[in-house]
Amino acid sequence: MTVHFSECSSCRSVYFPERLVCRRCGGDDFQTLPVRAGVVQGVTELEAGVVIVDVLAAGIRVVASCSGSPRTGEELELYSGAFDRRRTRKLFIPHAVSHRLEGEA
Amino acid sequence: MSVRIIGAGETKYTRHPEAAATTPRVLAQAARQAVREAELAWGDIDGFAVSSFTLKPDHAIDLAWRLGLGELRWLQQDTNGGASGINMLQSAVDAVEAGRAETILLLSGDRMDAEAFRHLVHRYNSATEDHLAPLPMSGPNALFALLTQRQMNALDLRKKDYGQLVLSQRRWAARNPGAVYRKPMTMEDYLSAPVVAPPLGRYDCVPPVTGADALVIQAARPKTAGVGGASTVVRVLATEGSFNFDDQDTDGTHTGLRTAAPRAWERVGFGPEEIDVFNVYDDYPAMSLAQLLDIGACAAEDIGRFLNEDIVLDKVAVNTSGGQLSAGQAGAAAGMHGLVEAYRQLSGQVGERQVVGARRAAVTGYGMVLYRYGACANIAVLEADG
Repeated sequence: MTVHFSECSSCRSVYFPERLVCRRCGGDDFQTLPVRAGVVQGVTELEAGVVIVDVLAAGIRVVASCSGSPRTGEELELYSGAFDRRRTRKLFIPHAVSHRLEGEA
Repeated sequence: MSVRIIGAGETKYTRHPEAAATTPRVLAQAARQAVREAELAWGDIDGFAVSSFTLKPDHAIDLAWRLGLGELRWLQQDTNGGASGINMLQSAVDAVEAGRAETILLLSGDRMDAEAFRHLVHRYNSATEDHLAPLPMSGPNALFALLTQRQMNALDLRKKDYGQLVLSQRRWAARNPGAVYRKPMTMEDYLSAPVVAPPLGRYDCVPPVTGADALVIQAARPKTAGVGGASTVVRVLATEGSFNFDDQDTDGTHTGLRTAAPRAWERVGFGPEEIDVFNVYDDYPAMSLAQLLDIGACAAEDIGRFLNEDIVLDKVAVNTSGGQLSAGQAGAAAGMHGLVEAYRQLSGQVGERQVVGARRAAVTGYGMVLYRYGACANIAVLEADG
């Protein structure tokens, strides 16, 4: 299970969501960076059983959802595709449609 | 050359709008009010700008035509939500100073019924559509719940501290016939409200309303005889903005006002201690606090005393209309609401809630959540004329 972030081919700055031009070096060539896990920074609950999570992964802050009760400081696996309530204690990060790679759900 | 605000308009804000209260109609109502208050004729307007989330498929020119405005020399449209009011004011001031227009009407508002609100928050931008809505997450409440947690940790604040801001605004709202929620609120009411997303409860989130706001601005010395006989005028001393200041890569508890506000204070030659009324963009109490800190209205090391003394005892006037939290968030008009209230305070038009001797006001705008929090922030400093 991985989520694909975007990495500047020139200066290796990491982005999610993807950008058109790198803020740091001005480059416009990006490659995908597979990211397997992230560390929970904060948690809130919007509806019963689904929590929204502030995550630090690959050095950047992203927004995920999770079924179950993750705790701040925990490192959890990431997945994309579609949110699945049965996948408890894993962090869901939706990809853009254009981001979907071959063979991905 | 100095530029003045010579009239303002604000429709009644309604939680459940009647069918006839369409976006163009509420905009027209606010526009007519402002032009009437400025003691101008419709034909005197030669510049026009509008901000609205629900004007589509129309644009500024379609609305100008439908409003019956005459030939315009200057036309703009702003899409920056909570920063749109001050953005338009800044562009209008620049246009008047450059001689591109003499008398400009600024307008913002929306019919924000349940369906329009759902559509707005679900399709706010591509990052929302692609990366937030599928979480599933509808609207920004959870994002600002997480931001509020980070601010609570950074400043050692408790839920009750935020309640002081909310209760204070409700006390102002009780004196504003235009506010949608005016019933007095106790700390018990605030703390026991239904949970939206911890730590946010119902009273930390703005009620969407339908309505519109308008301003008329003009050069200090109109060239055309007979134009602008308005007796109540307010000068725009400075506007400054900051957009995408941190690339969404910090904890979001500071805004671009951290860089914009010092520039504004330098322009006007005084600081926040000289301000009588602060109208900050209160989409959430945590953001009100972030903006008050960033413009220097209070200090981080003194935040507990500021909230539990200055705010509790109304020693500092913050969001004197009741703000969006009590008066309502009328879509894009939320970005102009604080300007209209400041204009009215400085021209002595607000009756019971008048801040005695109010001469100077600072108004801030904030908004446009890119992915984790708002990326646009701006400030306007206004002063009573004469």
